[in-house]
Amino acid sequence: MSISSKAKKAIAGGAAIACLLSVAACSSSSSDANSLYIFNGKSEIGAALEQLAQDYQDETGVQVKVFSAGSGQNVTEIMNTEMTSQDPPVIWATTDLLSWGPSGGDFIEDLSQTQNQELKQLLDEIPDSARITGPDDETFAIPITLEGYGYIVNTNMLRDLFNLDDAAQLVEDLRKCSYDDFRSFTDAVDDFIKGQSSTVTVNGHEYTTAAQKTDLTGSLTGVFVEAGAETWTYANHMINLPLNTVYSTFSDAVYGDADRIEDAKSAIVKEMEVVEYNTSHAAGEDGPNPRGSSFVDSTTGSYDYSLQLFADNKGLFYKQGSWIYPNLKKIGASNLETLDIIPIKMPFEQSDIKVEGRTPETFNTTIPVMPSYWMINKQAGEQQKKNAEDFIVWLYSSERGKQFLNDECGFIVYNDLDMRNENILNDAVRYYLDQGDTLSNPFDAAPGSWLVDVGDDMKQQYMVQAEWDPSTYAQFADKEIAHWKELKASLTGE
Amino acid sequence: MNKFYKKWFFPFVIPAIVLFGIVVLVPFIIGVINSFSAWRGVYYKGGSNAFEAWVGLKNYVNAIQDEDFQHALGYTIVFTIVAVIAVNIVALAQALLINSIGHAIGLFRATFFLPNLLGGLAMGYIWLFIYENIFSKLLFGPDGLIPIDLLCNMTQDRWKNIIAMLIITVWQQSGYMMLIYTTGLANISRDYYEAAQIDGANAVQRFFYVTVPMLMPSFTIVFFMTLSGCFKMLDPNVALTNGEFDTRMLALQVMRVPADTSNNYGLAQAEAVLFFLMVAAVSVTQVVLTKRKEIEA
Repeated sequence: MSISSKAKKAIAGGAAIACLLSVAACSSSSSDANSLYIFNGKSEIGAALEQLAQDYQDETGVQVKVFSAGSGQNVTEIMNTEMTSQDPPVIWATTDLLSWGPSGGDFIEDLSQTQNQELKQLLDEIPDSARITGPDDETFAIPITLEGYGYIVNTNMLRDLFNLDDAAQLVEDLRKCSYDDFRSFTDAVDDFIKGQSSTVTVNGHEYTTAAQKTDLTGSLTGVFVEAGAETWTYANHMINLPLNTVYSTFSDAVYGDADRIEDAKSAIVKEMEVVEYNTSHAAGEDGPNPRGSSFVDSTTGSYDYSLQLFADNKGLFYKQGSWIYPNLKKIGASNLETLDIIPIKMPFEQSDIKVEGRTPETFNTTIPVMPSYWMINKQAGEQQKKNAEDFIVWLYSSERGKQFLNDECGFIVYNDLDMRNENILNDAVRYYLDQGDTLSNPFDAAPGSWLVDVGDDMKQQYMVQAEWDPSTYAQFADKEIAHWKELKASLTGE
Repeated sequence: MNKFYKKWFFPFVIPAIVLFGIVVLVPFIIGVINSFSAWRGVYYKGGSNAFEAWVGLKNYVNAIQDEDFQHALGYTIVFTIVAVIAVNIVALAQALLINSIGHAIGLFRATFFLPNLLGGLAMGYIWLFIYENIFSKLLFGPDGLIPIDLLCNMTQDRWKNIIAMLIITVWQQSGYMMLIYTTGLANISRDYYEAAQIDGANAVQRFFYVTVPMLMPSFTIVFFMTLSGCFKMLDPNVALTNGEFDTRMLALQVMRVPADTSNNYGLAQAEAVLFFLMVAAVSVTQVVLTKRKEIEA
């Protein structure tokens, strides 16, 4: 059986064309002016955002495409790919202002230049601590929620620990007390776990631990719940506090002088003292969770494991953020209704703090609050940018938009703090926002791999060691400070 | 037959060549060009294309001077040497064993080959669980059955982690390599062994003077595959330590450069090109050397 040469040529040509077409099809797209592409980095709101996009499309006729990265996916890699596609996202977000902002690829629209008056008003209402500004006072983003972190505590546990009718006063005292008071308090809780009762003064009020353990307090195995395998839990969040002594905001840390980090040395040393105390009083499943190999292994040191420990009331304080509420709910935690957030107390003195207006009391009475936000792609077409502005205004002004932000996502709506949802930890964040200035998130401005490297160093040099040598903290601080400056220099130079 | 192949050569080869060109060759060439520029992944710093943002050899100089790159290179070389030796010894031993028992060969082949079917990351996480819970707590921990410190907490130490990755690599690759060796062994005529035996050669001599020379074509293939495979290893490295405790291998190092440097893809591309050149040089050298040792049966 033979095939004619024409047929062969046709097969060969067809195969080649099919290959080309199949590849070309991957890159074909259209930039429709009546469309909007949202790149969503928060996987947990993906489904709700899809529905919102559909509703917006039905209402306005604007075609909304949503891409949501999967949980645990590397968002940056996907975003890089999407931003270079023929139909790039118009609404998106990044924390890397140097690479994506005016000094880099120039992808971030200055929202303050908008002609949309409603959007202008929304921008005016952004609290200073949540404002993402550029080197020339540009407004780069609009917050879609505010999140805060500190020591999450079950107030019923506090009530039982000190045999109180109501823990409200104690919570208030813990919010306001000094570092020394807090340390005495945690020592007293540690004594209680070991079976000794004691009296402690917190913010001028005396509290005596209960003589008998209840079902709730009997489950305690440590003062703090830690996730030793997750470097971000003790690197990012803890080192953010010393960074707050030298950088007032996220934008300040991005564009401020890199040498200012040198002034954070004494604060980093003191932060290490706090980390040492916390990790040496960690709760485990059946008893204390001592530092060492199993403290950092992926089974007993994981985030999920720590979440379960806190849900099971094994530890009193859990250094985490308001974002963990849905996860606690998912695992059926029984303490959801009585959670609150206490500031992470730091033994800073005024000489450690270089940011004007901040004092040791600032650090011990408030928490870091940071926005998750959306930006508009400066390099998108004018009509698409207008579509994005209209969508953002609709999001904050329509009932459907507010329902999405507040009810479906459980967000704090920054310009309407009275809106409430089931996430009780949001109430704690609102409390600190109501009190005035909060701390910020300069850690998000850390250059390159700095946070990862800090976390790796802490894990390798300290978390696997039962005993720490305090004389090494200064050396640790020097190393991380030099590394910050080195990475910053490599970013700004070519 | 020859005419048949000639007729059908191009219709079958062209699609593969076109696909290879589009998804491998063209991106590779673009990547090499980008390695000489200030490429930031989504834009070129200082220009609108690679040529306007040309930085010459700067990325290569920075890559070579990069301490992380040097550490990863040293670590990868040590692992590759140990792993190539171990995989080959175990694979050859398995092949000889199967070849000599003569029973249930299919069952043994399938059993040894099975680990090769598992995906790299999934396998890495399974082994991480085994190392952390079975090895470090039940078997070799201070309170375990046989306390052996070397086999405890292997993923928390730069050098112990080599053993951890070695166990995975041998477990996964030896079955595949065993298949190549068994095929090679099956092709060796029994006549050679009989002749050697008549000449008074013992089992060891028969192995070194008959089996090894006749297996050289298999050695060429297996060495090439294990050498390049170990040099390029990524998944177990990610799953076990993700580079913590100074355990980054070269592939992970290259992958992490953009995150380490806030999107300096030009530098990452330079490290990737160096990585490619090293793998190519080592592999080609090995193939040339072992090919010379091959003999005609």
